[in-house]
Amino acid sequence: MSNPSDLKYTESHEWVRIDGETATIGITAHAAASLSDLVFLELPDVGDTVSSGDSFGEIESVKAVSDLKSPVNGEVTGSNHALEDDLKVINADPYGDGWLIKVTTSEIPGGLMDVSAYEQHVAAEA
Amino acid sequence: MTYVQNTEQNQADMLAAIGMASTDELWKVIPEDCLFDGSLDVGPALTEDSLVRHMREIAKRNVTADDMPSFLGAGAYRHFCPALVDNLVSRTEFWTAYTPYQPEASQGTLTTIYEFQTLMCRITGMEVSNASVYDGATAVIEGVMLALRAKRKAKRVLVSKGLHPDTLAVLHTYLKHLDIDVVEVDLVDGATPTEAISGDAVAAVAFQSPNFYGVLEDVTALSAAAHELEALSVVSVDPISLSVIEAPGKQGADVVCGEGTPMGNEPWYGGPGFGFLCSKMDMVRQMPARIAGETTDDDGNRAVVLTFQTREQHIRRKKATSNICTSQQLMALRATIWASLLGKQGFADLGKTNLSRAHYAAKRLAELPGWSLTYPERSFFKEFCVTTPLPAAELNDRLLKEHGILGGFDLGRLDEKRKNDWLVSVTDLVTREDIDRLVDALQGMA
Repeated sequence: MSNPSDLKYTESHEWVRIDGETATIGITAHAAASLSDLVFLELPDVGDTVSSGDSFGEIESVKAVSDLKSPVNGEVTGSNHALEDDLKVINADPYGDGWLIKVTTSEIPGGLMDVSAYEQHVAAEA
Repeated sequence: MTYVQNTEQNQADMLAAIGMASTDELWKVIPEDCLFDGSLDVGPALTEDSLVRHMREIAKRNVTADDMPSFLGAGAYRHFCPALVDNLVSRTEFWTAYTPYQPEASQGTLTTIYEFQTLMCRITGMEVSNASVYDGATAVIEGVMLALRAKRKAKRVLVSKGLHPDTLAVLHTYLKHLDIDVVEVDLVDGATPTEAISGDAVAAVAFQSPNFYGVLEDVTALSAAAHELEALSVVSVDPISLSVIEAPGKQGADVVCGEGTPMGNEPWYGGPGFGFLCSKMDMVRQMPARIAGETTDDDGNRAVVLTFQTREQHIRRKKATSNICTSQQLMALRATIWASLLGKQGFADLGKTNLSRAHYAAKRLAELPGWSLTYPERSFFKEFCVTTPLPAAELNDRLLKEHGILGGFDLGRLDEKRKNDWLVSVTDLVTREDIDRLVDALQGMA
């Protein structure tokens, strides 16, 4: 699966789509494939605040439990709780229906990667 | 235990292997001022037969609860335990500190864990149990920690002063360096007042029933009060009491935990014991420590495996549900064998025996001139407080020295204003004759 070029990426394999003051956040196709069979997802509620670099939830596969780290600071305006009952969507469509949270944010922190830097990061980790 | 010989030749061989001239060289890393300088005060060496005779003389001075009636409980209780428990638990297959990570090699151990969990769920009325924790105190704390994880934003816990004082102390130790507000709730007439269950951002309301003073708490009302605050109700119970009292799981409890030692284990010298921790299925991911789950193998046979290991410390490291717990497998196994030998009816009968003997003792003691039940309006199971005309410490001293009876717990040891309050435990191992002897002895002391 190719990684969209209009997104920013984190070292911990989250993506963020910036649209005005709204940031949509998910995990990358690489992350979903590495986790393999997902069994549990915990997301924050609307109104919670998230901080750049801090955990906003957790995702559990048969292999591991991983923290979900926020790429931005802000307040949660949308949380894709529907995924909790159908985790396969994250594997099937990580950049679309598999989005995790939407956050209102006023500034984009530095340190996020564009797609080519992210793909190099994945290759370097392999 | 295997005999390991230790001859001079053995020692010389070992020293040669590690390239040292004498055992003294081994201690060189220890600073000189930390080394004991002198000879041990044990007298000259004895021959084997003299030594055995000497040790027997010393051992005769021991007095155990088997030698005299005991009314001492306060958290450590003796109950009937069939001899078969000792026999079965002595099978060497069970003697391992190994964690059964490999299901292909550990179906026996895993099955005993699964049976233990099933047993604890049935007794407590809950949906999920772990494989046990260290003891009753850490079980309560793990229950509180579970609630704090489940209610992420709530940073306050209400804890009843009816919890065992040791449990409260351990709780404060655990939470001291976390950003958690621990509020102690004072008892009113020996019980936790429902009105005191208030405040915002409360994650857990923790209490014990029967509480430390023997009083049965209103589990339903306290759990409902906890739920009003959107907090979880964490209830520590004496598992034996659940033989005659409704399971807390059916009274609204979210976490049921406690000291498991009364089931098939003894107070011994203060341990080892085990704690149990049970909850509802929707909180299974917050449950710390090991959980055995049922599955099928490649051939479709029923099999048992450790599950939710991804949340345990050997995988999740510092983010594990708990980093301060393990199971007490052998002790939990004793409880499992014990319960299987008693059966449902035997368990119920045991409970009734405790209940009726304790109530007989309470009635007899309250009839003594100048004596009264401390909480006459409250219900109790196998332990109760009496207020006595003489200090409890004096009663205990005279009962032991003059009558060969181990008295109750002197509450003056915890609070000097309560030196005339006596916490009396009466289990199935105390007979009616023992109770009559106690009352006769006390009558002569007035």
